[in-house]
Amino acid sequence: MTGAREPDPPTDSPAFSDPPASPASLPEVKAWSPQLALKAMLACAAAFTIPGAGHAILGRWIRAMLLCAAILGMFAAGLFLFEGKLYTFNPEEPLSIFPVIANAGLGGIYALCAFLRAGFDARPEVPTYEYGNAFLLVAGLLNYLAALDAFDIAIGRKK
Amino acid sequence: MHLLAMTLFALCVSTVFAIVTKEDPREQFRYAVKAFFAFLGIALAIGWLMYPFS
Repeated sequence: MTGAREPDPPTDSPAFSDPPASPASLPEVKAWSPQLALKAMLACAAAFTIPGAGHAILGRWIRAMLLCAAILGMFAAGLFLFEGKLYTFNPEEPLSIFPVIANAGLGGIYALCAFLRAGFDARPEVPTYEYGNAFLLVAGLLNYLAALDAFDIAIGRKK
Repeated sequence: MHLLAMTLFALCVSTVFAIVTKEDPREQFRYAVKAFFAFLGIALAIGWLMYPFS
């Protein structure tokens, strides 16, 4: 223990002199145009209507099929295998808006279920009822992610 | 039924996460496999950790 202070590293050492990431290494967002905005909106709308359809419109067929299988699989398992339920907003319980937002991520499927009045009945006597609810909530949230991913691909932020 | 639900959940969620977060198909596959086994492994580990207190 000499008490001598270590000299500060020179400011031109590699840790300090690394250049910032070059613009070429960052994803390039396409310049805005009405066609691009239309394409992005169409991809998002399709992704909300049918899971995976946004990617299909953009020509990402394998991703589209995988997303469709995963999200529709979760929805089908949640509703039919585990017998969960879709939520509706109850004004007496304001917090019920959150599961509704999650379920509504299923978009067209949620609308179809609402139109057919199917899947909204609670069956708490079924042992897997809570699992079913979790599957339905997560399926909707995953579809939000898929729609945002389709948007990113449409505007060129992602390949 | 519990294990089936957990496996199905892990499979679907890891597939979507891989597609959304990675761009290269090989990276997506590796991420999906890693996330799938992480979901299962961590759930089983936590289950065994809670077992003495049940």
